[in-house]
Amino acid sequence: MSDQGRPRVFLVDDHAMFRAGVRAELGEAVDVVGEADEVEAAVELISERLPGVVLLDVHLPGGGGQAVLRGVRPRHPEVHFLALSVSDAPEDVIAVIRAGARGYVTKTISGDELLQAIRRVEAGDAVFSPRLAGFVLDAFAGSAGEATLTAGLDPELDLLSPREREVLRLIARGYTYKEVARELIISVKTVESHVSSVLRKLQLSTRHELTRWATARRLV
Amino acid sequence: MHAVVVGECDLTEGLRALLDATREATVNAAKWSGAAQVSLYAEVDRDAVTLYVRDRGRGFDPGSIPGDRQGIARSIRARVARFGGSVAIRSSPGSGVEVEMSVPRPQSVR
Repeated sequence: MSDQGRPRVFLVDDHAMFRAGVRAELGEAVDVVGEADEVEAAVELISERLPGVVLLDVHLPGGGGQAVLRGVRPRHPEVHFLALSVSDAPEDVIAVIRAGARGYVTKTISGDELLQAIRRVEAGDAVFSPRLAGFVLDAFAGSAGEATLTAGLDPELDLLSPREREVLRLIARGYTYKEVARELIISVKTVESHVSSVLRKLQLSTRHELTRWATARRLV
Repeated sequence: MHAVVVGECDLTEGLRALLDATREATVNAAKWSGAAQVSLYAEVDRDAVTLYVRDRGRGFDPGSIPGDRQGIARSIRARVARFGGSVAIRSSPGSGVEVEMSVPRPQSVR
């Protein structure tokens, strides 16, 4: 946290115009502590400045967003990453999430929503865009209720609970966390905890469908 | 227009009707809502295909639908109902509109 309580944000994107746009959009609400346009510089500067949140472009020259995560996370697990992308290729999105990003949003996001997402990620919560929620529902097809007996699936990691599924479905339908909370008559905090639990499953699951699903989508 | 799709299936007559209804609902949202963005969510599961079209526009009171709106809603409903499907429209003034449309999947493909 910065002295004024503004999130300390670091921007990683190979397009200067995009970085300038994000800076302008977020304005005084955040403290932009640095920028980088490729993997090596990003790893070095992030490790030096230790921002609260890194806005990470998924498609980055020199190994992609994953490479930055791999370079920083082992030594600085306290730095949180929010992935941003124009391309919605599932295999790329799933890859940065599994490499440790706390969320994924598309670049069409509004400034207000981005700011909310940054705050959420800084607090250690997860951020799912409708698109990411859809990916997860697709990759984790089959609910805990009907598939617990399927061989080799660990319900703790490889299956979504019915409630998690409901939450993701609403997010996929374009509901904000607040609207999801109202719809399901639960608190926003509970929505956040469901989403964080799904993120954990997404990062740790060894479910073979996840890989198979992402690979199959690559061929389409 | 933001589309999120979960699952996949072959195109059937019922699904075609659902897609036509979706087009109506989407055009409707674009025309009337005043919102800059329309979200579409499609989900294919074992028993049904369900589509949601949502906007955050001006919304309306479903209890007092203007004549032209009712026509469009009816054309959405009729299309989907022919194949055993259902339509639910949720809205209130100021909170946008969500149209939920669903058709069952043929028994043979389950």
